[in-house]
Amino acid sequence: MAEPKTLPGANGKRHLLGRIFIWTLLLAAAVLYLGPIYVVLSTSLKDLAEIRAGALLDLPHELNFTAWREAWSSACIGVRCEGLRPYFLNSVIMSVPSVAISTLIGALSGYALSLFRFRGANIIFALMLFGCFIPFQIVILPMAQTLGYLGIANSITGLIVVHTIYGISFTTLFFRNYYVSVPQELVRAATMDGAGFFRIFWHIMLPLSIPIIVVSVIWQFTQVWNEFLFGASFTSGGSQPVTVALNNLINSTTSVKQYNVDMAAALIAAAPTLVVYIIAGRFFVRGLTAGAVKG
Amino acid sequence: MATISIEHASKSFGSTDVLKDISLDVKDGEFLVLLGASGCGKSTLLNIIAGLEPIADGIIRLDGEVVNDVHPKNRDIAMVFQSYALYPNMTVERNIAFGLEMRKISKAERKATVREVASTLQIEHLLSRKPSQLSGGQRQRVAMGRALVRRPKIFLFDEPLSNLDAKLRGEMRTEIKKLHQTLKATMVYVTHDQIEAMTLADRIAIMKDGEIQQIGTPQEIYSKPANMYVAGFVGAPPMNFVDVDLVKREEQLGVILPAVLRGKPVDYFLPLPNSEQLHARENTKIILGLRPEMITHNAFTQTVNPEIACDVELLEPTGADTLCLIRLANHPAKARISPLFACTPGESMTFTIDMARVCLFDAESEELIG
Amino acid sequence: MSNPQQRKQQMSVLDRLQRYLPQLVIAPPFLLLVFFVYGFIAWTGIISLTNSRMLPTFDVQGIQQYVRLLAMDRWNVAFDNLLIFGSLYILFSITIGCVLAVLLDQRIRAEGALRTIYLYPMAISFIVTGTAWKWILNPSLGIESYMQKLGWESFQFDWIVNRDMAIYVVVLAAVWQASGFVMALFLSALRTVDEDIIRAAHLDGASTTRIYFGIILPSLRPVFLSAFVILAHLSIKSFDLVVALTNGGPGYSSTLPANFMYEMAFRRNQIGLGAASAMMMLATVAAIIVPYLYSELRAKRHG
Repeated sequence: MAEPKTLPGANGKRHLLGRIFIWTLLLAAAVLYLGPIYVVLSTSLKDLAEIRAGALLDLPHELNFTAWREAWSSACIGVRCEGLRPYFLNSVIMSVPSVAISTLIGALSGYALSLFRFRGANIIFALMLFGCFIPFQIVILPMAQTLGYLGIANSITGLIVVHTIYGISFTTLFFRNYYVSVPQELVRAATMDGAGFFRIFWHIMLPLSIPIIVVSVIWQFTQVWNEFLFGASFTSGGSQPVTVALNNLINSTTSVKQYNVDMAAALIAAAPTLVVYIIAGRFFVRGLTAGAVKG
Repeated sequence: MATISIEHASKSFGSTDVLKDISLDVKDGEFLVLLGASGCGKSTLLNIIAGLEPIADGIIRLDGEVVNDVHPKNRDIAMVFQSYALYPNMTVERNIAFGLEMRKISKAERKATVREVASTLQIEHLLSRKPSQLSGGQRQRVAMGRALVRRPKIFLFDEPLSNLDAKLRGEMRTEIKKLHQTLKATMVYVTHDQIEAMTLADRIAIMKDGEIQQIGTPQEIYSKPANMYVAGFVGAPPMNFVDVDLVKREEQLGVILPAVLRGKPVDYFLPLPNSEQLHARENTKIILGLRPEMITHNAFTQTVNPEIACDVELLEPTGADTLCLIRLANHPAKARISPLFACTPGESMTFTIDMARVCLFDAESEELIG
Repeated sequence: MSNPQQRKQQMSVLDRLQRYLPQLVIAPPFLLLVFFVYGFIAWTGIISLTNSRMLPTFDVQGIQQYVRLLAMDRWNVAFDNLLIFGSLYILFSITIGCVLAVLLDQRIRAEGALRTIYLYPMAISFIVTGTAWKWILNPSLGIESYMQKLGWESFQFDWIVNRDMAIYVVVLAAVWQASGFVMALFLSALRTVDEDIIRAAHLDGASTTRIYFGIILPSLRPVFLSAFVILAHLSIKSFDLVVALTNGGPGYSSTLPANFMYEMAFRRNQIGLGAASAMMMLATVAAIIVPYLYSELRAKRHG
């Protein structure tokens, strides 16, 4: 917005006070937002004795990565003492196909819904959109049974299927709202040039869609990676995703609480989505706001 | 040969009728302009010819063959769009060649054809650029190139110049006209700009509310507008309409023109040629249509045309002419005079009325009389 | 090309197929969602009318599961918690997010960095958020004991183990996670405000504060609405955060309906009751979402 300072005759002193006030609030907020991650990180680098001494906010005396090593490869989750690693891999195996498939389907259906406004397209879109908002508690009971019928209960394949299906609502929304802003004349011109539905999609729309593909992939990845309810409901033991394993690790009551290992495990579980966020934050924000701001 | 023939075409979106029983013939090699305000159905009509929109009723023939169910790509038609609709991800070269590519024409042949078209349009130096790196005028040329490259028998233009600034618009207008003269192809051109329509068209079809109001040469449309809508739409400034009484004085049929002279109302009698049609309307209200240039200064000492003297409220010099705002039948009207004869505002001045060219309209139906 | 007539005929069959391709392409994903969303809702609805315990049965009995549900203290606590949690979560997230967005809109040099800091919690799973806050707030080694060791002997912050206060801990962690998102929503909307309006207001002699309260914020009404709808439905869905932070405790004092449903369906072999509670959750979401979607899509059609 227009900067008042640049207006001639503005009160310089009042302006300075205002700036100090703004910066104080902004920095205080930054400290509060960063606080938890600082505490988690510093705890994960301390040894247990240091933690028990109770200096929560102090920096660790020395950088000690044993807790990280343990969390990754030897901490006991349930009866297995292999650390988070197998579950982390489960999450990777689960995320990649479900993100790819749901993005592809969303791209095609968003394209069909936005650029070919056939009769009923709006109703179909509204019905699909509602799928973004349902509480998943409403589908877990039938889904558990269905996965059983299909023979993919308690498997990563089952989770891939579930995440793909319920991701379609979101990916369709992203692509539909993106393609709505593409001028209809482009499709008409390509039709005159002799390109059909799929060739227009492949030659013209997909090359235009890189930004929204990134948005969709990041969003779906974050959703699938961070998801807990489906993982907890449909899997047990060795086929659980990392979020469920982390929760089991934290809440295990068998041995002495190893807070440093817990915190390291939490950071390991959060790392992929955090890295994606830091690398591609701009697209992450667009995904978050895509559903909220009119397309 | 490339003729277009539309018979009784109708189309509606939901409850609004966009086209109502349109019939239209376009001759081979003709440049037809569809002119009308936005929402009159002219673009829909164009899309129907292209095959981009199906019609509810009626028949479309290209070269006598019914094409209602023929896909756009098989109609041998090219179209230039208002937004140019260039494919943003492709270079200019590929944009132009895309239609050929889709028709499975060999790469070498594509390349040669694109070069040729590019040189006609003087865009060879732009071939490797992306559309986003082009100016508006350049994009327009590329869009033309994309249409030209396929050598179609029919060209359709959907307001192709409306996104350009005034100067470029004039230049491109000339180029399109030249192109038509060289290619001798059938062209249908949609616009809301009457200057484009007048300068480009062999014939103009004026549309309103999904109906064709009049089809004719630019000159016919200008001098013999079929109704008041056409008369008011074409011409700038628009035709002045004056409510007048048709009376007979001393065996001479004529109209009473109320004007204002030195602040006082004054009536002038303007004689009209005796005709059967007018006799029948004696002592009724009709509407007198006067284009600004029909009310002008008297450059000669002698004239057969009637003269009126009235107050000039305002002057608008346009360079070549000066427009005088006067008051006829209590409504503002514009007269077009030479700047040499201009008076000062507030003074009164004598104008001659070119009675041979005036238009008379029925007060009820608003149709041209005669 | 030897027989052009025949060629044209062939084309037109393909072309006719082309005309229906959009519908053909949308059909499979649409039918998938019809089955897996609407079909499953119906399925759950039917189960909620049965006496299903460990395994679902389809022997419809009537609404007694709902009657049982509404009489259960555990459910009523969960639903009251949802009202407390939902309203505070929405209120604080929107207030904090809006304030941060307006402050960041004042040509702050480090805007990019600050934005990244405010928003990163949104990239983290609820489980991790819950784990982190649970550690920070635990009374024996967390912030309470740290403050006491610093010399502030009377400092008390044991909400996480306090029956009456545990739900507010959930609010705290949830607001920490979502307020940055609201900030991003508002900031992107602030960037679309017409600069000319602000210039005009300056010329009219309005102060920056007045411009925000009188002109800009009122023009962001749709954003407030969007933020409200998104946060409201997120609060109804909230499940993982409670699991990781308090696990519903102490006792069941901080459960939310989502946790109630899971508990009944998967731990206590009360599938019928779980289904009934899921239907209640869906009804709550629908009451907010359906009018919103209806008005959004209608507005789009007319615009």
